[in-house]
Amino acid sequence: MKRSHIIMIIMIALAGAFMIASVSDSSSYADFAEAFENPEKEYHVVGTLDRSAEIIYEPEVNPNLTGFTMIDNKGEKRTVWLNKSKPQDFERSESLVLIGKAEGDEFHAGDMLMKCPSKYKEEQKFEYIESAENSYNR
Amino acid sequence: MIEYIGERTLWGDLGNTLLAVSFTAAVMAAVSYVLAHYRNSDELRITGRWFFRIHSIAVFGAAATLFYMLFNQYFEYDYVWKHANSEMPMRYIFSCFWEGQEGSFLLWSFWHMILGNILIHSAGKWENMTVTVVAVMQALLGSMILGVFIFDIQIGNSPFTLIRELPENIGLPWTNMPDYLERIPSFQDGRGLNPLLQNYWMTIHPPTLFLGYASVIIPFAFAIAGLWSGKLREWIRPAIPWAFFSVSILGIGILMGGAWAYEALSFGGFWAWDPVENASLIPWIMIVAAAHVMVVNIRKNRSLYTAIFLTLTAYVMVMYASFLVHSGVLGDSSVHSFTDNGLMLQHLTILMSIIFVSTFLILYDRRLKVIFTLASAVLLAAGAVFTQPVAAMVAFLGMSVAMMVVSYQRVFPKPEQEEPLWSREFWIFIGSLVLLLSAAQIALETSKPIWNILAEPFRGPLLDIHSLTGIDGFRALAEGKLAPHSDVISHFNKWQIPFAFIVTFLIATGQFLRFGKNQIGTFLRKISLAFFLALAVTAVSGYAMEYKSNEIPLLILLFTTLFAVFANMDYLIRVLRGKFDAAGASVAHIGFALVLLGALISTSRSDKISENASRFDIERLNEEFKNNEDILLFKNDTVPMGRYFVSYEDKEKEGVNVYYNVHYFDKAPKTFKAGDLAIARGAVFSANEDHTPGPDFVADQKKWTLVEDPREIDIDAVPRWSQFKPGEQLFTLRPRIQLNPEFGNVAEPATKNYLDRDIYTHVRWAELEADSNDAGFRSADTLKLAVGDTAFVGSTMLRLNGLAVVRPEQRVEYMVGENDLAVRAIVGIRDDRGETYEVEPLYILRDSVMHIPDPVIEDETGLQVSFIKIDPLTGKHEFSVAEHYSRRKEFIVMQAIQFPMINILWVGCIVMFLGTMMAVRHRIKQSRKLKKA
Repeated sequence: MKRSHIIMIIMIALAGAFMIASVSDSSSYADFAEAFENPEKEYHVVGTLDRSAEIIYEPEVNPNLTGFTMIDNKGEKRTVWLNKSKPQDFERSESLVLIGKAEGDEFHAGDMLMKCPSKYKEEQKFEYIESAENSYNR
Repeated sequence: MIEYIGERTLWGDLGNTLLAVSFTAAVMAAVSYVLAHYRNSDELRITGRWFFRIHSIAVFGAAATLFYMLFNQYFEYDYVWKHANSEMPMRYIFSCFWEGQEGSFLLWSFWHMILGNILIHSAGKWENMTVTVVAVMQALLGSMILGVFIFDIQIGNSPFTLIRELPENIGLPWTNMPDYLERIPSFQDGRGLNPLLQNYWMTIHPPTLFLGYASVIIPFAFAIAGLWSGKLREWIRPAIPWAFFSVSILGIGILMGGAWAYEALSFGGFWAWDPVENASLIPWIMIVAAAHVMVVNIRKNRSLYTAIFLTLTAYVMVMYASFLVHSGVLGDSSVHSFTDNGLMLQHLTILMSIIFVSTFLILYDRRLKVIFTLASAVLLAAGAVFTQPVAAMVAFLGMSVAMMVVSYQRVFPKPEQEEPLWSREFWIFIGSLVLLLSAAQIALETSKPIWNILAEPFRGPLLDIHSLTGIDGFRALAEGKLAPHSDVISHFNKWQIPFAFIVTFLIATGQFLRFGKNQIGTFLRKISLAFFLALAVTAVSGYAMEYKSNEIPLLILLFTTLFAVFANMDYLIRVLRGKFDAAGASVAHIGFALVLLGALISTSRSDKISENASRFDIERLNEEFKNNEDILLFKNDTVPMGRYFVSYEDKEKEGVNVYYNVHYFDKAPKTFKAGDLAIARGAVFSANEDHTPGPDFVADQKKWTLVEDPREIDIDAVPRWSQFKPGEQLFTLRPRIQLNPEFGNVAEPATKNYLDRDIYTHVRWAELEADSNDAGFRSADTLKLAVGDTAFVGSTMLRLNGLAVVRPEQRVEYMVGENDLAVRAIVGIRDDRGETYEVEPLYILRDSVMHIPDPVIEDETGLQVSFIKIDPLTGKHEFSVAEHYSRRKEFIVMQAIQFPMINILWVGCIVMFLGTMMAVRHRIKQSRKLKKA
């Protein structure tokens, strides 16, 4: 066998191994229901902040802990403890991705991605426009 | 037809016309050049040139028009409204230009146009083919910003669209108001630039990065030309300087992005393996690999197929990067906000076309080409007919790879003999394969959201694989729920470190191997000096920096990067003897190794010195919650942090920025005298003898005696035990929060630079708006307390000492009515200085039904306590407690990270840029020399 063949076989084997390793070493997106069924597994849970519930952040007690309620995409609400300081403009977030595990009936997230709306003002604008319209129609 | 008042439609029309002209002229230039190539006609070539010049003027004009509109704030235009506002300083107008997708495509197109003109002047006999490639790409890119509708299909988004003409606004009543611009207030000002991008790096980083992206088209165009004309090798020589140019510019562009992130973003570092960063890194790694293999081919006529494959793939990866960033597929996996621009299909079509053309040309065999074309057509048709476009695309990609393997194995011309094992050409080839694998791993990992889409038609087989192997990931993939690793940064580091040490090891040794056969003994002797020097330095510094046994990969990388630095210095001095011309490679390699070395040390030894010494043990909640990286600083308190004492003094508002002044003091040694008092472990101690304190109290305990009865002592005056006291003030850092109602407030870091380390700080949380009601109380906390329970509100502790019914004879004292039933709670309060108080809020039931809250205010602590609910079932009663605002001490939550040796990284960036530029110069000189000869 020529050396180039050996190298090629190694390359293909490595590429295949990468694929499998990459798949097996992944987290998965889930809703709260699934995450609470498997409390030992780490999940990415996507949802939105429940603005009606209280956001607990008491830096005097612990600056690295934030508590809030998230509604997942299926509409299930859960109390969440995030092991981070409260992100700036948390209240205005559009969607959240929690990375963590279920613990009892709470979700404990070690990390969180937060999407702030880039279209924030656009929505605002249409409100303005409607009000302008009303004044026009009147 | 409505006559709109105040619209400056002339400029938009001009812009759109220029875009249409640039698109048409690019198509015409491509057609002319193709004909010129096949007919070998100089006249047609001249025609092609003219069309390309018209195209160039149109692209330049369109860019200038957009700039003019941004500069003059024509807010009736969507792009201007979205990216500019009236308060924008001039220097950010450029940033506005490329903040949006349309502008960044225009920027990209602008660089292509410049490079195309350089090719016209310098490509010589390659002009017809290479400029064709550039012109075709210009037409494709141009189509992304064309903004026309063909039937119902939108081709491109134009940056010159009026807000009133946006599809979502058409038909809205206000669009029929002739004076809508005056009438609707939000047209008076635009949204402005995202504050994160208001940074000087944003003026220079995007154009550099896009020049890097754009420049990859030149090696690509030469490779295509080589395959097209059948001159399989000849294209490499003119392409080499350009390949190194791409390495240089794209590399420095990426690193500028890192510098920007370090300076302006509060991500806590310069590299976060974010999809957008990865998208730029992948093509860079590919073009680095391609450029090296090109050098091999020129010298030894080896690795031809690899050189072509890597060059083509590098450009495919540029397009793929653009697709990832612009199409919105990354969705939830990135902190960046991506919006689907509705052009995903168009972008995908462009990407697939490039893959098709590249594969078609590399097949190099008429029969294979026919089979590939037919099969692609069948797949396209089948995908459309059976509405299975995803399956068809996966099949197409799979087939492309298979055909390329067949082409490599069966038809591509190869030298008879293999290269010798101990030769530079062989090890560069291996190095390029390692780079390919490294890029593949990054690409696979970053593309996880795309896997979910591609896996959709293969749900069944994937579920089978899941039940066969038990790997949960396959089920997640089948269900389209595969997510990135939960700790992306450490995951990437784990995978990429082994690649990095192979690559740096090859960088160290490669130059000492000559092209052709080498004597292994001589080679070993040559590298031994650098090898042992690196080994010694690794041992010493590894020990000094306390690398532990579970950090072996880091130690190996420390060794290989040092080895690479020393070996290339050695080569520069002993072999090249400082000859400047040929030194580019060595200098660039030293730079690259320094970048890795700096990144390695600063990241692996970064120290979050802002540790929270909290009363509340966070691990009690969850033992995996170990994150204590943020520190709470009360105003005017001086607390130890790392090797400093820090004190938050005040905040200052300057324009939109709120600066937080944090002073840093030296840690001065302290001495205790006999009889000194100190609080430690919750008790008061008295010193037995004069002494200098040790690292902790336990070690010193013999020198102290417990004060059994501290009642005589003024506890407030007794300091806490500490080893140090604040010394002289060293410096002040002013991290800031930028207030921006449009995009949200943004924390920007402040960094103290030392030669050997940086102290990088940013405000994680600060109260921006005062939270207080009319009476000056903050919003109340609800506490549920059983008798004996304690809880904190602010810095004050409360304890429910007991409950008692108000007896009839006490009614007068407690001012309770005849028919009232009242319960008093005895609540103990202990403030932050340790003073204790007691209050007795009442729970009153009037006529056995109506509850009357009776808040009491404790004067000293400024606490307002109400008794809200009695819960006999659980025994936990509810209280509402509010602090008076004036009592609250202002504070910030801050993070501080110490990055040691980060300057090695920045020095490496500059050295690498200089080295690659020297290589470009060297390669240009060489090809000129050859032209003359």
